[in-house]
Amino acid sequence: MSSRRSRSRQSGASRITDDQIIDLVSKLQQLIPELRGRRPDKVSASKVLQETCNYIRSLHREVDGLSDRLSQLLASTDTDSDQAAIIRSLLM
Amino acid sequence: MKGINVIKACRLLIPVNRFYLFIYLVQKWFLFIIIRISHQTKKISIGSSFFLSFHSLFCNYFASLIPNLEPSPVFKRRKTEVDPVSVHPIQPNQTMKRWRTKREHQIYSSKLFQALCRSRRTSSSTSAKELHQTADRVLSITAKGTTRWSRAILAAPLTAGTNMKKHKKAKVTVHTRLRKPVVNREKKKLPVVERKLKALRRLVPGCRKLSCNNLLEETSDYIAALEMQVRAMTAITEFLARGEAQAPTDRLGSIGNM
Repeated sequence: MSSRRSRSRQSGASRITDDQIIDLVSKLQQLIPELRGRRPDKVSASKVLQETCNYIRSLHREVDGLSDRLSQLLASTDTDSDQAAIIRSLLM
Repeated sequence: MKGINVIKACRLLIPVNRFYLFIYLVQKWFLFIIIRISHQTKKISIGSSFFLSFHSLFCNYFASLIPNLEPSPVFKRRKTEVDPVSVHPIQPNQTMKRWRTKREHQIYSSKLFQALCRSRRTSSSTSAKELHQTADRVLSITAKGTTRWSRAILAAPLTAGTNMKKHKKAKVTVHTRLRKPVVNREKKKLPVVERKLKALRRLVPGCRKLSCNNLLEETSDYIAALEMQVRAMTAITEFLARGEAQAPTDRLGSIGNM
């Protein structure tokens, strides 16, 4: 990979070894649902990192959407105290 | 500024370092005496100047201790104690199991629900942003302060900060337009993997200067936690949405299935 050659030009403080990158990439691949089924040598490091970033961003967006919806629901419904108590006891 | 740093360090130090605290106080006292004497005699001896330089070195040592100590998280709505000193690095194998257990899911759901009820009692309307922030903070608390991202989320200020960030971004874009294109060409020479790692570091909170290995641990934990957050919030949303239409008895049945 051409990226490995250019990596050696970095300053000593921020140098990341190839082994670390390979380790990181292989472990990240297990976490991301899209890349889990593929063979490790078929997927490049940059693709795995890109997919990780995209996956985290999509999770953020999902939580944003959910919190949006939740705030709307909470605004419309009035959860009174005994309902809340029931819910809390069942969630415990 | 120095004084505040020193006070912070003194407050955060664990009992073993009381020795340093004692030495520091003794130094301060000596310094005070020397300054008084030099005022009276109107000349500063060699010994006192040596002492002053030593004192400043000691202050710097204290100041350097501060980044290593984790600040105790300040969460306005609840008083949960997170022990900042006992940091156990989590193995990647554990993270998968940890966030996928039903128990963690239940803990998070109940805490989130409590936080939401409390916030509804205090303020009449909750915006989506506040809710997201609350959910993130509850998630960090469920993490029990063992990971860097959870501590970073809890240490970050509440909603007021986000508006300021937008202003800063607007200013930066104006300057880059005035710059010559030569600078942009040099930037492209950075290796692709490095750039992607940088982007990943920006996404995971509190990991901007983390090494590769630690970043892996943090990322895996963060992703697992986010997945659990999505599952829990989906369950609560579905429950509330169903609760609107149905009678109370049906609601009880649906909670049991969660």
